[in-house]
Amino acid sequence: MGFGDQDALLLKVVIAAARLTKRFGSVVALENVSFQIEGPQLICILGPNGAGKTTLLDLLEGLSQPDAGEIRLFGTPLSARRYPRERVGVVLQKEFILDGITVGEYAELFATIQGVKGAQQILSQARLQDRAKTPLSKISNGESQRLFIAAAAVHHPELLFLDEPTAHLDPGAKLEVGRLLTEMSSEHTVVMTTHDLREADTLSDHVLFLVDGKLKAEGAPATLIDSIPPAARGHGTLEEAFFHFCAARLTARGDIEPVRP
Amino acid sequence: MSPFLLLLRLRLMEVFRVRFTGFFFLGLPLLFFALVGVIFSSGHPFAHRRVVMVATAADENRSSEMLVAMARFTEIRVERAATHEAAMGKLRAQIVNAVVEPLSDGSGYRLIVGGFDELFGRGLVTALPGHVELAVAPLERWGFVHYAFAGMLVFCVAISGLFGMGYNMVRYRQNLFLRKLSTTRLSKSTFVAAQIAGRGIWSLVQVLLLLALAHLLFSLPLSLVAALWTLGLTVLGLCAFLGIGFLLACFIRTEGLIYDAISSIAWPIVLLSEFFFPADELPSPLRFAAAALPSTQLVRLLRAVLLYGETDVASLLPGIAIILVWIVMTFTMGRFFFRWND
Repeated sequence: MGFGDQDALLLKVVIAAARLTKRFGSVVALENVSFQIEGPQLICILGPNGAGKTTLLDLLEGLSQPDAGEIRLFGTPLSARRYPRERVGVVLQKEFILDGITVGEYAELFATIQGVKGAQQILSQARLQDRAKTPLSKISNGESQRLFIAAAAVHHPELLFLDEPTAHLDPGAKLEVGRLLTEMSSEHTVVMTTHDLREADTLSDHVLFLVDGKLKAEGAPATLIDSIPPAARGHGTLEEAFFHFCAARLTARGDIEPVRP
Repeated sequence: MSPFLLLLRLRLMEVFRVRFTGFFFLGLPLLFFALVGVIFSSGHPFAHRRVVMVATAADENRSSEMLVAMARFTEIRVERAATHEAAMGKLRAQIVNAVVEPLSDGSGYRLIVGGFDELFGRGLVTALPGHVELAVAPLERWGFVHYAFAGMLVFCVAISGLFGMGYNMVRYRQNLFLRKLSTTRLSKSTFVAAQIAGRGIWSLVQVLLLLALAHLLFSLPLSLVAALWTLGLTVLGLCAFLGIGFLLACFIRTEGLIYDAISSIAWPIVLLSEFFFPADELPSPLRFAAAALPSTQLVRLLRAVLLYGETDVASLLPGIAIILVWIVMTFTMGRFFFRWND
């Protein structure tokens, strides 16, 4: 996919990636990845460990530069020096925890950095008003994830990136974070990575299947499921669509691995 | 292999896993020892008697004669001071053994020594040409403590600056704080300025406490002007060391390595920066290297204002300029090389 004649169309698109390639030495982490995402909606980038999900997100977040290809956010090409930080919020796969910092201080720090008076808004959205004085290291994974998400969205960004926000969460916490993300996706374009196919099935409006650094398929879950040949379709789940498009299978441990010919 | 032997092997190999750690552990002590050998190759730092000559512009000719006469004696080191106060400050700090100054009526010189050096003074009076009067000045008990105080102050500032910026930046990078900040609209300069201000405030508190202790416990003479100069110079010196720490953090990625690097910088600073003895006791290449260090300049400036009563900006300016060069150089390079994330 190229941009050339589609500029008029790109104005409505939140993210447009064209022929993205990223290498680490001899390892090709992403190869020729192209897609477009419109918003607001919730998009899941799905793939097994090592598929290139975090690498792709790093590129979209402007944390690293592609070796080839182009990214446009809100119709404007990204460069090493130019990134619309005020329109984007990010939750990293591993968030920092400073020694002794409290929940309230964290909320205040990010509200101030983003130039808004929103510490209370962060606490209330994360439902942590009564934990403001608790050290961040003492709250549960689910609570801290809600805090990170609320803080990343405090300045009402149009686009929110989250790298595996539900990894290491128990089912209850996963559900709560999922609910928060669904709620946010009505106003923001939420892009998250996950390797949890069932979660993606429940949450996403649009999915990208990434395996071995290659984009295998993308689209609305229902569309992808519908396009599975009837012979290969069982219960009509996103899981089946993923395995069909990615030539992958689920291991006994519940991990996804590509099926090698 | 037994668990003991496996753990032992792992522990031993830790030193070699990172090339720099191996160097810091095995190479650096040898280098330090070699440096100590070079520094003290002419004897220990107090081997020579030190005489300071008060030489004002008006007495230039007369002073020159006396300086030439004293230069004949290899066992003494002669230096010049622009004022009586500056020379007496050095005598009180016990870093010189005698002061020579022209008598106001032009009839000869006065040689002033401390109580411990009366015998040396008597000998010198007979060896110097012309009429020389001997005077014995009572010396403050804590004189050398006052001299060492400036060194101690600069050591605190250096360590505070290097760790405050270097170590913290590496820690912030390791715990992903910098990576997270890079996803926000926060500018690098705001972040760095906050780090400087935070460390600066704590350093000022530290200096105030040290000044109060030195004044109350060790009778360090302290005027308001000298205290203000001390605080100002401390901030300046701190900025230079924060800059060096910042630059180190641009290239060093692990806490262990930055700790080793700062420790390896601290040792030469202690030995070369006149903390306990003047740099003119060093062999000449090291003397120039020492003079280029911000720590040496800061020690000299602090002693000038605290001990020698110097508050004339023009005479302090060369030292201030050298420190400013360090600040500009390190922060400019740091700004160029600094990355929020790896």
